[in-house]
Amino acid sequence: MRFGMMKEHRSVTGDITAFDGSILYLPIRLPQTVDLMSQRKTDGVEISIKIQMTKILEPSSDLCVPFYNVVFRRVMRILDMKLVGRNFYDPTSPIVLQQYRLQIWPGYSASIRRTDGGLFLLADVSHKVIRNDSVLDVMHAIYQQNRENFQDECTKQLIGNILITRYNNHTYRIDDIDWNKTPKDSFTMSDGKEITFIDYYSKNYGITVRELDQPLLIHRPNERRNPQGKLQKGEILLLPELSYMTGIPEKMKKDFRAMKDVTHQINLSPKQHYASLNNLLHRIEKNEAARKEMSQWGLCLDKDVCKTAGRVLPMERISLRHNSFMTPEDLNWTKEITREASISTIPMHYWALFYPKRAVDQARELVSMMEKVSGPIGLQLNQPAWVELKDDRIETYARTIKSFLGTEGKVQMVVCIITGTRDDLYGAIKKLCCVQSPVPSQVINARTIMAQPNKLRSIAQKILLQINCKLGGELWGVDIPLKQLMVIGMDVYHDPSRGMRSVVGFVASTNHVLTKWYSRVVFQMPHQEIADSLKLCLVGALQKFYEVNHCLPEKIAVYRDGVSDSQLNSVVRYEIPQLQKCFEAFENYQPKMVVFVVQKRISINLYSASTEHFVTPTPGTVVDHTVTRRDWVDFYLLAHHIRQGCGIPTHYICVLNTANLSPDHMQRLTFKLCHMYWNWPGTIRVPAPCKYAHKLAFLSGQFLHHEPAIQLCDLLFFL
Amino acid sequence: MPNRKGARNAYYFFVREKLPELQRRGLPVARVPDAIPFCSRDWALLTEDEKEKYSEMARKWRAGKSAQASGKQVNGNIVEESWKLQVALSVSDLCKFFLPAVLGSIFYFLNIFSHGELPSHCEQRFLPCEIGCIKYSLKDGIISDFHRFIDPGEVPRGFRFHCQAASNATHKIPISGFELSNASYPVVLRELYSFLRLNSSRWPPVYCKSDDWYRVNWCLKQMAKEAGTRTQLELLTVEDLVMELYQWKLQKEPSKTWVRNLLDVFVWDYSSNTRCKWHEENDILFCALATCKKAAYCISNSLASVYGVSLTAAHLPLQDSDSNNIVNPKTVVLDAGRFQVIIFEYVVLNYFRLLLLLRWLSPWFLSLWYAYSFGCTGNSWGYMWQPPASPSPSSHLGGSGVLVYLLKFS
Repeated sequence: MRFGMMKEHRSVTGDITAFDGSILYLPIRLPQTVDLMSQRKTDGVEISIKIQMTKILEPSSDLCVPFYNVVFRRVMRILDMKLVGRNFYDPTSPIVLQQYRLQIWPGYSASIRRTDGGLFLLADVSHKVIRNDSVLDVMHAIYQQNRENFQDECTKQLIGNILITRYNNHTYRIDDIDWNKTPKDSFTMSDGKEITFIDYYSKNYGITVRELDQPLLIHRPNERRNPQGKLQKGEILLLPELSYMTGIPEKMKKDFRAMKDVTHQINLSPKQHYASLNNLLHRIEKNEAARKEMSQWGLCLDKDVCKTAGRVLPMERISLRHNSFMTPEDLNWTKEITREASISTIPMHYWALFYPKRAVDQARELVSMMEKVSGPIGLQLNQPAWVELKDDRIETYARTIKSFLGTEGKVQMVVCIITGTRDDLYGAIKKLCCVQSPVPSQVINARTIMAQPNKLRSIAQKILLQINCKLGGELWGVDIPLKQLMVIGMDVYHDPSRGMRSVVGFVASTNHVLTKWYSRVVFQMPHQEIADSLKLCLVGALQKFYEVNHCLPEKIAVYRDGVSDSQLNSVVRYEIPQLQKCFEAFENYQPKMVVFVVQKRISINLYSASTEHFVTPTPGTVVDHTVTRRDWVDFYLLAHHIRQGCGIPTHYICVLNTANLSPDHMQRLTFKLCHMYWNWPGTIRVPAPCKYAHKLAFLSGQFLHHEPAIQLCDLLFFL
Repeated sequence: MPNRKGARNAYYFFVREKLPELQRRGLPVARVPDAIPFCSRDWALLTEDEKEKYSEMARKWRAGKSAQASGKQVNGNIVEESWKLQVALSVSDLCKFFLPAVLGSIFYFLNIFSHGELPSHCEQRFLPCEIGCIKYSLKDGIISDFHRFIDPGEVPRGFRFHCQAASNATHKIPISGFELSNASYPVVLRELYSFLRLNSSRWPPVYCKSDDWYRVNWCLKQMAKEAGTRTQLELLTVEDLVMELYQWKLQKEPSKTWVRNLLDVFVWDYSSNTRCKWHEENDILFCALATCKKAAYCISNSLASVYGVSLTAAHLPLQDSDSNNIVNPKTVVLDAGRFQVIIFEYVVLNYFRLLLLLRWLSPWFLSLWYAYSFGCTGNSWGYMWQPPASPSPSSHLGGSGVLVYLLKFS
């Protein structure tokens, strides 16, 4: 509406305009204030429009970036790309997977960013999976299967699904189904007129509704306030015939082959990814209108993606108890760690194995295999206390484990075999073992043991290594040149169900080789600032460090995950002072500190251009110029080995550096830490303390709903 | 002396909040009643949502007041139509009588589950679907229980997904087509009333956890409305009950976190004979009956011993009390020996060691011990009872609480 009214005044504003609904951008300067009148088409009311100059934007100013985005969005519209959510999709050239009745819309997420190297168009490829079946087709299918309970079955299967209406490409959630209405019924439009659904669709979209007796779907939009502060509510009725299901159906998610086909289409190799980006550039280039739109504002796009020089960090040396080795090419050292002794192992003298009666064979097999593989790792393994459960109910598990822990004194480890993936059972066991009677615990799904008998050896090895970590053993290390260093990882888990309560996971190293970790969890009430009780955690960690080393760390490196761009400043202004305040608790103590914010979800892709075709970059690739931010010290580091898809690096922003670490040292340290995650014998995307903190926060938020017992704080019980 | 203090309604709290501002404007308002005429226009401008805040304050105040001792004199009266509540049988009143009166007095714990919570602008906020209530006394433990599934009626239009998702995350009661939930509101309410007033003419006070208070209260009112009556039940919070019980016996106010921790345990989550039949068969944790019983267990576990009541199967699930309390005697002796070294020089050693052993060996001895020590140690005992900030004050952790205290001592 607003856009239309602005268009009527082309004579005043000139032909070249960019309007985002409230701010009008013009390449010319109007006299101070312009008052215009317009008539609203829907009800004929005279609307007065006032255009007031607020600012002259310099081309280099940061305020221009939103404006450039407005222009670019227009370009995409000219190219017939459809805006769904925040991304642009191209419904005209879908990839159709006929055998699964799916189609995939290719699309882009694109925005304009300002970086060290100037203005960049940051584009990434994105896909949307849409089913060929309309909701009506699904209803027919349900009817064929089950005539008696048709309505019940429909509500069960359909409610909660997300659908897309192809005529305007909006997505909706199905909240309810109205069985009493049909398209022949009428509704009130915003101007107060009554119109039937049939007429509405034929008039507005030129669609003739074929099935006249279909029920209607109800979508309840989220309540929000309109500008006057009044609560807007209501419901949107949709026609099943015109609504298409989105996403991959549950049944298909279990079908391994189908998922492989879909991921094959979605995961692009660097070459394909590049081709698809190039395609976008070409389309903009070829399209006359699009080019004009850009050039009239004096904008033009480069012909190719940005090429810049990166560096590859040197490989690291992994040390075990008796010897050390350089990391292999693919950065995976499973072989080495399963054949040689870990740095330290905790002998398992007394541990308990709980298994339901029907999994008795798997339990036997597992234990005998664990005994076989424990030798090379250097772990002393005694026979467990076998506890057979009569069935696999949660109650049975909970009660047996509880009474067992109550009567037997020093159980080192509780190992449970459960049948199937059952979150509630897992939660009950973890609650019992992490909060109520603190003991490290390991839950194993029986299916992983029996599914592939030839892999049992490697599974047993992995389990054993994980158990060793949980008991306090150390698997491997890398050489850390910085002495007297403490590394801290922090992550936040947001609980969707419990009123937005969030959980902060905090993990800190307590020895010089970074193989011992201290962990704490803080539960935050809603609307509380990020990490309000950091102080408690850090003081605890420093005390622990002192206990172990008889000195306090001179340098502290903090990796903070789970911060969006807009929250960066609150980290700097609020969290860091809170951390620094802790040092006052100790006499004469002023350590040097480095704080990094870790961002994983970024749409930057790195290709390596060293060969003829683009390939994925080698792990350890760092880019710290041209594409980095102007106002922060930051770098992109790709630490993990990529099997499929493109190289998405992790973005590290250094928000505080009183230790005066050089960028090179920061990058080296970060890369070293990416080697230290013991649940994976290879490098991972983020530094290990970050991953540990994430694991801890997730476990506490999702399953425990309580702080874990303090007795476990120096073990990696959450792995 | 009649209770001159009128009830405070939502408007009262609104006016009280406005008071400083009016005074700043120079109006002659010293107390809330003076300011009433000046605030009516502002009040009218508030939206329902904003008013809800003050109503909530008023509700809290009412709940707090009725649970408190009625003797306190408060200034700042407000002349308004006085809310005549049913004379509540508050714990403090009881405490004026003898100990047996407290021990034998009966409390009802009530919880009502709903299919999720609807946003505040809806008329219907909850869809009650399950009700659980138990009759409990310190002396006899759980005497009897009441449990029904309720027919929630028609789901408000457009909220089916919302409600279904909320139920699936907790009690998993199907929203429609559930053959057990056939009782309509009036039927359930009648049954609940007859359960509560089995053989007395008075309405007993009913308790629920403070987190659930709003929901249970709303559901009760709504059910009464459907049945065409007004509810005369008075709903109080378990937290206040625990406070009162504790305060009366130990002459000391317990910390709020302690009370919260005491009630927030999951030791009995999977104990037998706690959940209703359907939830137990389907192995689902969330059950209205279970939450009531667990509150009772918590009180039995931590307070019954203070009152010198011996625990029976009606107080705590039998099986669990076994596994909790009968510990291998070997380890107990070892533990005691370990701490013996630390506190050796202290005269209190024998006193506490005896206590320690008793604590581990049997709660029956302990209750005797408590009963005895009240006579002589008075206040210091109150401190003993303050457990450390441990996440679950279950009975065997209670023992370690004493240990922590001992360590502090040395």
